[in-house]
Amino acid sequence: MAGQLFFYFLALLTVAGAVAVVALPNPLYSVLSLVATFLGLAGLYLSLNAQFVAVVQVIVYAGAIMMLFLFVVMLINLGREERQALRLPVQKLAGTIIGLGVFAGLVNLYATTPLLTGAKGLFPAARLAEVGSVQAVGRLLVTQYVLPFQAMAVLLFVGIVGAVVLARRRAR
Amino acid sequence: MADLAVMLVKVVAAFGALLLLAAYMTWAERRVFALVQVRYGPNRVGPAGLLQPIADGIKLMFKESVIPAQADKLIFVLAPLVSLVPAMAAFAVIPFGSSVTLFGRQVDLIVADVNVGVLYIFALSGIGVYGIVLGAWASNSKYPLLGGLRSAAQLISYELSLGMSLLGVVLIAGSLSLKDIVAAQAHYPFILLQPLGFLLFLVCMLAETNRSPFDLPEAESELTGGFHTEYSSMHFAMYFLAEYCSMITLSAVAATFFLGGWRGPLLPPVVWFLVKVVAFMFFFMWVRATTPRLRYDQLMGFGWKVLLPLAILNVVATAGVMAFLG
Repeated sequence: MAGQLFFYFLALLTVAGAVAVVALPNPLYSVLSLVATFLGLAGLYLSLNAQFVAVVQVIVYAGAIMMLFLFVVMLINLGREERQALRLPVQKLAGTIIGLGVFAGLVNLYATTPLLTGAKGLFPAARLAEVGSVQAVGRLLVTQYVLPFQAMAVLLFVGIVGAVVLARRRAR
Repeated sequence: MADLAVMLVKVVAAFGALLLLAAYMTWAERRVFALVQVRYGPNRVGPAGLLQPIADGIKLMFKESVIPAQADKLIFVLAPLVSLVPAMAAFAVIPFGSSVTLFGRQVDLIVADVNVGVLYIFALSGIGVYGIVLGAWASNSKYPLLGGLRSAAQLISYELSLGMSLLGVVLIAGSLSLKDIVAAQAHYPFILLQPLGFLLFLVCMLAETNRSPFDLPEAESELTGGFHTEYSSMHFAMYFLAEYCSMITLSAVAATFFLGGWRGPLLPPVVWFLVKVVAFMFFFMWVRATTPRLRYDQLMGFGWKVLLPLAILNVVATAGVMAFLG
């Protein structure tokens, strides 16, 4: 019972945050709403015994990435008129069509596939509590998923080198 | 039901003690600072000035809270809370004593033994940065904005080295839970195995709490008061408390990771824990009283070019030795 209440509270927080991101006129408020969504998601992970994923969600998304967004919004600090000027009718139309398309796709997926009764993954909540979520993620990363893990490391490294090169060029 | 009661008592006791300690640290800081400068410091209110924090608290509560006309009022009021709540909540995973028997039941002296305790502390300190950045932005004034940007850049830079400096201990203890880390130090404290990690943590700890010599975000001579320039009354007090709470929490983390937490001979565990935390707090004050402030480019250069490589070296070396020993 308490678990269910917890779930509905977090689900509400996540969805309301997501709606607020697009509905609020002030970009800074949108960024903060997205933080709320990420915190709600982290809470949902926690209720699935995936503590590691939950904490990483907060550190990486809510902590680091959204802080970057916040910096950009704060430094650009758009006035009311500039915000309005960006809203071309074409953008609105395209946004509506794409949004409805994605929504229809999701509804279709929900209606046609047995999402709720499908096969369970390797690590359901009960098994995670037994193994420990850090150990489970760590072991999978260096065994089954070692190639994608290494590829991602290379990708991030290229990103860092790229950032340094761009910053250097600007400075000259 | 009884479990819930025990939990509530623990939460209230731990956070009450944290706030009390934070309040008295402001008194201790002023006294230590005065001693270093051959002054008396606050000694009028109560014996040796011991009631000073209470007088300060009452004064702050009755002051008017001024909100600038151009400020974003909602965020202006919420930002100090966003700073204070994570700073206090981070203390929850720190074991402040061994288990005791109360009314016939075993009670562990830790609010919540989370198996990703170390990461939990980092996640909360990441959220705490929002309090500073939002407060700075919502004030809609140039000094707070500059101070807030500096703060955020500094906190994000030093958080990396702070986390890396603890990884060596995590590798040796084989757990992210602070309770297990204390248990792993039954024979000797980890400062003996991780002297470099300890030094790195000590430096990053000063930077993470915006303390001298890394207190650029509130450099009075150039930025007035930094991100909290426009804050007054209880809203200011919350920022102030948040700073002291995170100082205490990081002191407790240092004691737990490198000095064996609540372990020690003769005295009861809780007393040992307090002695270690207060020793680190004294270190904070001592450093503030004796070192000049760094320049901003020196601060960033030091963090990225000295501390981070050393921290990575420490992790790699520790991992290598651990792998070699099996």
